[in-house]
This record gives sequence, structure tokens and C-alpha cells, in this order.
Amino acid sequence: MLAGTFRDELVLVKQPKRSPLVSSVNAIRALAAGITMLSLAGMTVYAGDHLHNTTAPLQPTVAAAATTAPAAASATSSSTGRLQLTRGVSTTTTRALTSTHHS
Amino acid sequence: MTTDQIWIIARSAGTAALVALVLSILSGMALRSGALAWLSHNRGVRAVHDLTSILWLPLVVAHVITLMLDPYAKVGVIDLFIPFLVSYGSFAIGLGTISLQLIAVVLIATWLRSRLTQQGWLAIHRLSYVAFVGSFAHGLLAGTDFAQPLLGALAWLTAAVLAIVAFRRLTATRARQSPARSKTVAIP
Repeated sequence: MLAGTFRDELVLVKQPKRSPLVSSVNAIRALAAGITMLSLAGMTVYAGDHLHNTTAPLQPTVAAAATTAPAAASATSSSTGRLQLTRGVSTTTTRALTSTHHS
Repeated sequence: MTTDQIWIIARSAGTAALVALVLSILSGMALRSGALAWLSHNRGVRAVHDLTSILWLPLVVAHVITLMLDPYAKVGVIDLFIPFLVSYGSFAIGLGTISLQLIAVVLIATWLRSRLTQQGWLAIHRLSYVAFVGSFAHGLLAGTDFAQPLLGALAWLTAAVLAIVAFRRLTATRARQSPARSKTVAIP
């Protein structure tokens, strides 16, 4: 009987509502913007350090081979590990159209 | 700007856009399910949902523009409108195009919400789930960084959290609907 009374009283006790961790709208907004900007900054640093990933599903060599970009005009860069497209120095056997004082 | 810098911005902007999209979808689902009630009240969660939807836009624009400038990506203006035309990785890149278009439709529908019916707006708004799945698959299949173990694990963990919150929301919605449905059946 005592237990029953005690249980009835327990039911009447109102549990205090737990307040959320961040109550300010501006603070939660700043937190969300911070997470996004941190991922942007973090990925920028990370991508700068790891410019080329050999396990990536799409490789630049595949992209270059699939397109009609002139392969002969490209040169590799060993410093970054990523292929660099550079304008090749065109060589020609025809006579130069311009002349200098020495020519 | 060098080719390397363009490539770095393309990758970081793409990842940050996905993060913004995750936050937007998570906060959107939490509005109904109360999954983030421990973190903030509904007004705060709503503010996060609105902010991250807007934050996503410049990030994805930066991602697309830099990829159009990148000599290896070979993404053209037409690829923004017609998916699967890129000469390599067409499926992976096409998924990104479709996701971009879907979220653009969702954002436009949100701006025009007052002109749409509630059901119409909701139907369009739910396309964002499809867009997220497409974006995630785009990141997996075309992203350079998802192949890294740590970043890949983080991405899958985030996707798992979203799946759990989505499941909670679905069950909460069904639980709300089921008493009403049984009452409807009971009425002769």
C-alpha cells in the first residue's frame, strides 16, 4: 500500500525539462557556419599537401587520355605529382617572318 | 591562379558544399524528429537549416567554376545542364550535375513557397534527400579525397548518422499517423 502511494506521488512529480546545450540562435548559427568554414579551410590545407591521390577513382591521366588534348604538348611536374599542361615550344622548319638587326 | 590552386579550391569547395548539405539535411530532419533537441531548440535548428542552405550555394558555385577552369576536369557549361556528357567518369560527374539541379529546384521552390501548395512544396522539398544521395555518390565515385581512409571513414560516419536520424524521423511520423489511421477504420 505504501509502495502504491509512493508510486502515485512519483507520477505527480514533474520532471524538469532539460535545456539544450546552445540556447542562442546566433551561437548555433555561428557553430554551423564554423563547421562549414573549418571543413573548407581544412580541406584546402589537406589538398595543398596531398595534391595527387593515386587511389582516387578518377585520375588526371585518364581524363587527359579521354579528351583530345594534345599529349605531346603536356609535361609532367615531379614537384607536385599532378600532371601539368604547359604550352609546348613550337618548332618549325620554315623561315622566321620577323627579322632582327642581326639576322 | 595556377592549375594546382584551381584544383585545390575545386576539391575543398566540393567537400565544404557537401558538409553544408549534410548540416542542412540533418537540421531539416531534426525539425520534426527532435533529434537535435539536446543541442538547440527548434528555432535554433531552423536557423541552422536556413543558413546552411544558403552557405551551400557559393561553395557549389566555386566548385563548379573551378572545375570548369581546370584543364583536366574538362567540365563545360553544357555539363551543368545535361548530365553524363563528360568524356570520362561520366556517371560519377553526371550524378553531381543531377544533384546540383535537384537542389537548385528545391531552393527555387523554397523561395517561391508562398505560390505553391503545401503538398507541392513538400514533394519538391523531399527531392533534397535524393540530391544528397546523389551528391554523396558523386563524392565517392569522383572525389579525390573520399579514397583517403580517414576522410572516407568520416564521410561514411556522417552518412550513417543521417540514416539513423532519417529512420527516427520515419518511425516518428508513422507512430503519429497510426492512431489516426486506426480511428478512421473504427468509424462505421
